Amino acid sequence: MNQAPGRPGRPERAASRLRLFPLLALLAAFAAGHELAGQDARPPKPIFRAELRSLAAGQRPSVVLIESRGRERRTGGLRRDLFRLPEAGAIGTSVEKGVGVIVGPDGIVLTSAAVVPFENPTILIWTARGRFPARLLACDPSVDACLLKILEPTPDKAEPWPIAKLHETKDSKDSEDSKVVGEGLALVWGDPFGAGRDGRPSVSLGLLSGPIQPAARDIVYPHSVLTVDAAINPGGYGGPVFDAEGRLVGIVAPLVLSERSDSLLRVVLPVKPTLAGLRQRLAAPSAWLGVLVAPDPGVAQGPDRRPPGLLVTGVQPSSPAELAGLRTGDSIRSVGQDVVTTPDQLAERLSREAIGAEVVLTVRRDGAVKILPVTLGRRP
Amino acid sequence: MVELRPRPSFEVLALLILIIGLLAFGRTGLEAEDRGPRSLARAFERRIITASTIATPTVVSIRRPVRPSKRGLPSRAGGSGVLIRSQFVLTNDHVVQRGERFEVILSDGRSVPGVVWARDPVGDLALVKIGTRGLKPAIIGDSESAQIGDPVIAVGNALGLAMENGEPATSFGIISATERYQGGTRTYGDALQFDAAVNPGNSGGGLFDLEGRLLGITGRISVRGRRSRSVGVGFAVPAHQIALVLDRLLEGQDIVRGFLGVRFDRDAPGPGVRVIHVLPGSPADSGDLRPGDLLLEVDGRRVDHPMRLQNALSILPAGTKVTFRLKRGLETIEREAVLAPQRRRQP
Repeated sequence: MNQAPGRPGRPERAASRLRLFPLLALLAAFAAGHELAGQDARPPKPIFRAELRSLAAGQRPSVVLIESRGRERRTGGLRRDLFRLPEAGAIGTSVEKGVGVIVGPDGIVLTSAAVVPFENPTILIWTARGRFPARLLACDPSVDACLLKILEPTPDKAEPWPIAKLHETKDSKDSEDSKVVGEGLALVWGDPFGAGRDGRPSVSLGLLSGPIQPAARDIVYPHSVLTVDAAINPGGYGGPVFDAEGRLVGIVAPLVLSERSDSLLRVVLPVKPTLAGLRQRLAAPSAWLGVLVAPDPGVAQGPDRRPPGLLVTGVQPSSPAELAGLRTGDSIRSVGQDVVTTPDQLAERLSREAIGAEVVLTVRRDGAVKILPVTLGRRP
Repeated sequence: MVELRPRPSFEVLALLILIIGLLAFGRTGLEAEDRGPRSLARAFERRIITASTIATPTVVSIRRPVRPSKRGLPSRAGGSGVLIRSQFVLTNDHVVQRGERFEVILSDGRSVPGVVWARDPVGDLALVKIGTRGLKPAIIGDSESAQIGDPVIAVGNALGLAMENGEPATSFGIISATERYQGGTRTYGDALQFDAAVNPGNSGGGLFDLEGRLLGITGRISVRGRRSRSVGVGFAVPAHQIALVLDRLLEGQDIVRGFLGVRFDRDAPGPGVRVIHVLPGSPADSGDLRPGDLLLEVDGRRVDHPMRLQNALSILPAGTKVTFRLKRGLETIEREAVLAPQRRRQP
């Protein structure tokens, strides 16, 4: 009808279009294949990003930064300080920083003892809700973990805290607390080098392995632990470790294997047995002696010859130690039958005793050996 | 009737070819969704390889021209750079601070001369013009919407190993934190913190997303002990901060950072930041900021912590007009200030 000369009629056009169709289909399929393989100019759909983002965002509210101040360092605990060895009884106020995770809706925080290594520490906690003071509830020197409680200005009006989802072992065979399921992706939270000066922690990705029983520096854990290869640095103590399903697996407690080579065993304390141990201590606090001690290397030769021991650098007033007659300058040789040469050994030995138990201390004073019976008390 | 016959056969043929085509070329992408976790891991691996393949040609190695040394020792680790335009390489200022002329080694191994074109010493950025044409620059990514957990790769001349054949190394990690402030003579005001390994020689290299787009320039690492090596804490100048100064750098202008002239309460936890002092005659003074003002937003970005305010201001070059939303008494008002040149010691 109104067709321009030279243009094909309707049937011919349809046919030619159809002839082109297979070619177009092939091209489309080719393009689709290339796009999915990620080589097209158009950016491919992000992979794995949404998952990691949502994991991190889901964990973030339960992660807190902790700062503690104190004058006297607690004796005992395992010596697994990453970058600095604690001095028992050091003089002057010092500060420690680290990370923790909220495990109870009433603001109970799990962290490493290295973050709160002081007697009567002053603690501040940065949460997603702001900054709060906190109180030390209990520590377990056998694994160096502590529980804190966030103190709110109006506890009765307080909203429940966002808690971390705990890793529960599924298999009934693994239900013992000593068993730990490991392996897989891990997100590890920390505050490396205090980079989060606005109170925000950071996160690092790694792989979990284990369970293992590390045999390093005569440190023995009461249960097996995990390891992780994510970045762990000063400020990372107590950092919560989450698995690929966003469940809290444990907290960071790194071990230095060799200070010269700076090689680390990045130990993760599994959350279930660690919490169980702490709850036990909350119910029944460990026995208390009340001394500050430092290792006394001893002198092998000369008139002052003496074997290694633990030098008492301070005796707390009205403590069982004072009542038993222990004095600053004494050197503790043994508790009962067990020789002690480090503050850790003393704490570990005392943690095995009940409150009210009587132990016999062998003490060297002015070159003479004294036997002092002590009735252990409850920490005030 | 007869002439209509070819139609169905064409349709069948078309369908067949479509199916064959999809089977032949479309399979790779479908695997991830259809074939369980192992294939997802494979798809993820392929994505990292692809991102690295896209990013690597845009990353160069930078070193000072080799001078024959008496002892014949190799030169130091040098640095890295990212092609931001076909003739321009963006790097860290600290990589090129000790000279004007450098040797730029492209990822294909070619060595071309480079001249420092413009600098941003405080922001630790510098632009090097290179004597070759037609190179494909990096695709710029959206660093502002980067979030904690995002997978990333760092590409650069790690430990100077790329000097041999120009081929940079790739390491993998995630974004550990955003909006990090790292002070010093070189200020990283709005840095991306990541855990991919970056070592000496990586400076000036690129941090890319898994689509191969540039998220930032990897410039600074935290180190443990005395040795300068990766401990999984790296900082990158983000692409959106680079965008603030790139045009000026391309014009050959050096960048001077901005100065506002307020002192604020550093200890008070937010929300908002309290102004405690305004320097007379400063941009803050002319912009009618007053002691006691509670700053809520800077250019639409919420400042809920003093560090965030410092963070937001430190990345802005002199001459930038900044809009503040603030609370004065009971009123919430807006004020503007034009940042003056910072008179601080340049690195």
